[in-house]
Amino acid sequence: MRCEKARKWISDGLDGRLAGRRAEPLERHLRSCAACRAYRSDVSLIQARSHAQPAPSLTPGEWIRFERDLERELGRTPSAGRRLVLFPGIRVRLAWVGAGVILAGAMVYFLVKGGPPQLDPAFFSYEGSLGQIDREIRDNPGLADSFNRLVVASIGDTIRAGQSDLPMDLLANPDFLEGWVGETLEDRYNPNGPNVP
Amino acid sequence: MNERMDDRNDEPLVDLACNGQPEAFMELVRRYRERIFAMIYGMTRDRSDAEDLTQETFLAAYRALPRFRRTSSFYTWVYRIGVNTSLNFLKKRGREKDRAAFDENVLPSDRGAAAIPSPDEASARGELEAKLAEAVDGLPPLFKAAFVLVANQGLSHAEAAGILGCTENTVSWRMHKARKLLQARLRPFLNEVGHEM
Repeated sequence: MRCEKARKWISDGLDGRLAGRRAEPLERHLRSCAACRAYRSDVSLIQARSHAQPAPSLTPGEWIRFERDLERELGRTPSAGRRLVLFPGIRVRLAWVGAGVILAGAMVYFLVKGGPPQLDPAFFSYEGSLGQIDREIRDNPGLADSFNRLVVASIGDTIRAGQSDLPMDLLANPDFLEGWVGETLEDRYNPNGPNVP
Repeated sequence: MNERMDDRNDEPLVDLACNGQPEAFMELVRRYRERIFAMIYGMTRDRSDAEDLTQETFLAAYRALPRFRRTSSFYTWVYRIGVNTSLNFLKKRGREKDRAAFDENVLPSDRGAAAIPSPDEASARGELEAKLAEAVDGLPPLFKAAFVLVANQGLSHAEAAGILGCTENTVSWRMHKARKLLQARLRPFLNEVGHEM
């Protein structure tokens, strides 16, 4: 047994808290350890002297003064009974119930409301994005050519990446590119070659 | 009124005090003031401080009466307030900082206390008590609280745990640590005179 453990048990023993099964191993250790025997002797003496110290008190006159002072202070203090305390003893429980109700309400709200908010399709409307470009191109034909080349090159890159049926789908869609680049696309990306139907 | 009240249990007095009768509360004060004062004196080692803190304890109890949930006896509840009031006081006073050098490895002889006289037995008793009081005063507040409650006041670990708001095991360890510190602090003196007593 280590001395530290033995000294903890000595302390427990002084307070009447040493389990019976520990008494024998402790005694065995003490028989072989002079340092722990001396420790037990020291702390036993400390314990005895602590108990022996007389309980201090005030004199009767001092207690009278004590009471007088305290009564005066109580007179200044609002009476304990006049305070309104709502639901004493269950306030903590009420707080938990309230928190639970709020949490449940929030869960129900999100369940009813559905998943994450959807983006407004109008945000990407023609008027909002391509319409602006269209207006600028009308005013500047040179810009139209540049834009068309850029779009065609971009579509070409996409097709080269393996989506070979894309140009025909795109051309079949009357809304896509609105005829700006239709002929050019046919020439460049027709799988049968330029100018072949 | 006092004579009639003396025969009552705490519970009706608490009810009366809650209903705005300070004299009922004063009766409770008379019942427990001595024990509360002794405990606080054990913590502060100063008569005047103990008197002030006893007063403060009962005032705090009076103000907190509406929140007294009666899961423990009134005495235990007031006792707990007294311990907390004392601990707060000790913290404010900053004694734990002053005693930071208190270390079981630092013997009094290292701090200029080497000139302990070689007393005869009678003076040694008084001196041991003084040294013990000084050593207890130098304990860290939580160790001191446990030691005062268990060793001085004779409370069980379970009772001390209820008052200190910790487990019995924690009280047991605090007692062990407190005893180790006290034994280290008092070792030279105990070696000289202790075992003759």
